[in-house]
Amino acid sequence: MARYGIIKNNIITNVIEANAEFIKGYSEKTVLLPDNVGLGFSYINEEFIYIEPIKTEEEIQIEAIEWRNNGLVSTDFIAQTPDYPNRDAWITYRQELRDWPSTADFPETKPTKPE
Amino acid sequence: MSNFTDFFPAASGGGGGAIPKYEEFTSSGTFTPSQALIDAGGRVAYFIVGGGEKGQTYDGRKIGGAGGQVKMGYATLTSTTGCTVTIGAGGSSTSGEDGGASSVAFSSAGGTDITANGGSGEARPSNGSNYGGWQYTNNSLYHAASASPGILGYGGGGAGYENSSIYSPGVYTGLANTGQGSAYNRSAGSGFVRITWFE
Repeated sequence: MARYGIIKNNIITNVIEANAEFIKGYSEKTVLLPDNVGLGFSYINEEFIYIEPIKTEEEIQIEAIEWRNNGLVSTDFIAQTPDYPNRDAWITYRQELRDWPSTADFPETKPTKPE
Repeated sequence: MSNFTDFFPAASGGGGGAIPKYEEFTSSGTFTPSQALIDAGGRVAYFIVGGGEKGQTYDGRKIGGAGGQVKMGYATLTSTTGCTVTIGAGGSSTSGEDGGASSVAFSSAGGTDITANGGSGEARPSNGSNYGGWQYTNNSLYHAASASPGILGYGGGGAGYENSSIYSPGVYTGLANTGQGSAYNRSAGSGFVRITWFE
């Protein structure tokens, strides 16, 4: 059993488990894949190339919001702990997280955590 | 309530007691309907599972890969022409590699092609039903959330974990031919196809 990539427009668009006999009769262009190659790789001139997918502006903003929300959730206990070390700086950081989406820094420059 | 055999003329018309025939695919191949199946109405039940997604890192955390899509249903075939069956591979190369799609080209025998997509979109339910650990809900990240359990042991999501190595409930290494997603740096399960019929 081996992994074969199905190639369309020089891109591996699907990876299937198959044997050589099946591949011989298969109607689409395929290539036997090394272990470290998979979906999304380009296959040009018998060479595999991986190009990181380009994210859309919307995807970047969604990920930034998720990162911001995660930062608030993971530091929520600090707001509830009066004697937490450097607590005031953390409270300021949490406010910066809340404000961040409406600032010019969003989404490129993230607020920095206190020491 | 309907019985399984209600969907199969050959079984329901024979006074009961019919034993279904089935063919399972753990690797890509060809399903060839028998003449007896076509003569009995050509009805088949399919169970198709896409490959699972490999786990990945996000924001310093390890997120489980999504399980492969699971599709069940019926098709009616009218000829004995062989139908190509592909089995999607589980994500195993780059971090977060999506699972491959599994499919049956029923159209070769007069039916409709069916594809179960590979796992994709890791921990976000909005990107697929069989999500991995650390899911997002309403744009909030809940730590160590349970991955999707999948269905009948197929298509479960991979486990997530933080630097403490405490895993959330979910699959670590996907079993072959289950479509299970995997935890970070582990391989996901490949897909599966079962076709059942009476003749």
